Amino acid sequence: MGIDLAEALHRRSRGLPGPRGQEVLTLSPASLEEVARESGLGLRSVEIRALQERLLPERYLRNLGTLGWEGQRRLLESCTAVIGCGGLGGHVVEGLARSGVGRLVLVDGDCFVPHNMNRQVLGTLDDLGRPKVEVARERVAAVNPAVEVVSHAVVATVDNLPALLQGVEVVVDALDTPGARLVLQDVAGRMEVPLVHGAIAGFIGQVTTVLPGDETLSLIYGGEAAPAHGAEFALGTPAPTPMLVAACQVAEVFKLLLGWGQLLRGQMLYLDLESGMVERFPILGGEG
Amino acid sequence: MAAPLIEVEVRLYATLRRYRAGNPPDGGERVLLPAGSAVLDLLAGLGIPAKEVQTVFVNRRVMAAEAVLQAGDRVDLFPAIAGG
Repeated sequence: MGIDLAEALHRRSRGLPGPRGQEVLTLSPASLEEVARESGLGLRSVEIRALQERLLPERYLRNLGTLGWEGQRRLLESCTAVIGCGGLGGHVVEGLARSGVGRLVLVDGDCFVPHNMNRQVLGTLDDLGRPKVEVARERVAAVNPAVEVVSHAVVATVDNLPALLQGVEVVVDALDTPGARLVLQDVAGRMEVPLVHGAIAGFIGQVTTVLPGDETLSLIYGGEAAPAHGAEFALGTPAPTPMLVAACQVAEVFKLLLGWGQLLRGQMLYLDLESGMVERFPILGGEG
Repeated sequence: MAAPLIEVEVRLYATLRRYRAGNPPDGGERVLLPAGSAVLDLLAGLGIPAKEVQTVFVNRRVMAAEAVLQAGDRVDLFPAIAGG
């Protein structure tokens, strides 16, 4: 029983100019939802099936030239966790959802407060007092309903992280203290999950990718001697810095999921908006 | 007899810049110090509390603050950066 899915998708497709002006058969958000409703399948599954039929959900048309058909399908099939949904995490969630990373695990124990509003893209005045992960889940549903979100309104700890990271392929460190970040590095390493770290203070940000077994963050924060907080305690966290660093983190997630590009592994990318300095420093040795 | 002087290039970031108003963001500040000085001696000379320096790079390699400097070294000094 059921509908002929391929036929249902092909019938609704229309040609649009894609990369280099070549025609690409696309499906509008409304037609994809129609097929999902008729077939009883989830929207994410319908989009994956469409890509297998060489039909592109139109929302990904401007991804195609860079990510390709296989890359887009891979993103939709993948699962990424974002730990911390504040300044960095909010922009990361926005970027991953728009790109079509198919499953997101969101973890943050905080609710929105007024002093988040200078930079945290997911929060509006209507959201004050609401859990950040709830607001994030609604945002994703509004932007890209194909993305399946599991949200946990809890503080990530050494005890709950192993369960939260089950089935996760990449984890994004968007936390806000050295201690919490080191705990995440430890658990992610034990679970063999690659970690994309980003941190900010004032107009400076840093990004690195930690593969299982690497202890890049221990070298940066001093392991057990890690300070309670960093320079952000004095400088705060103005809007441009999380935007910039989150963008780099989203790109690292793509590279990990799709297996291309040069990872920021074992090196710290520093971005200093005060001076315009952008430079990679080797942390674990090897080529700089 | 005083030790001969060596010159190193120092770049400060974020909060550390406030200790050296003239520290140019590009190219760094040239600092003279006695041969055999360690990064810790450099910090003392610049008036930067060692506990505020989290990561020391000498010629773009991570080093301990006890590392002895050589003439012409490039020293990049960062505080901890941990905000989100």
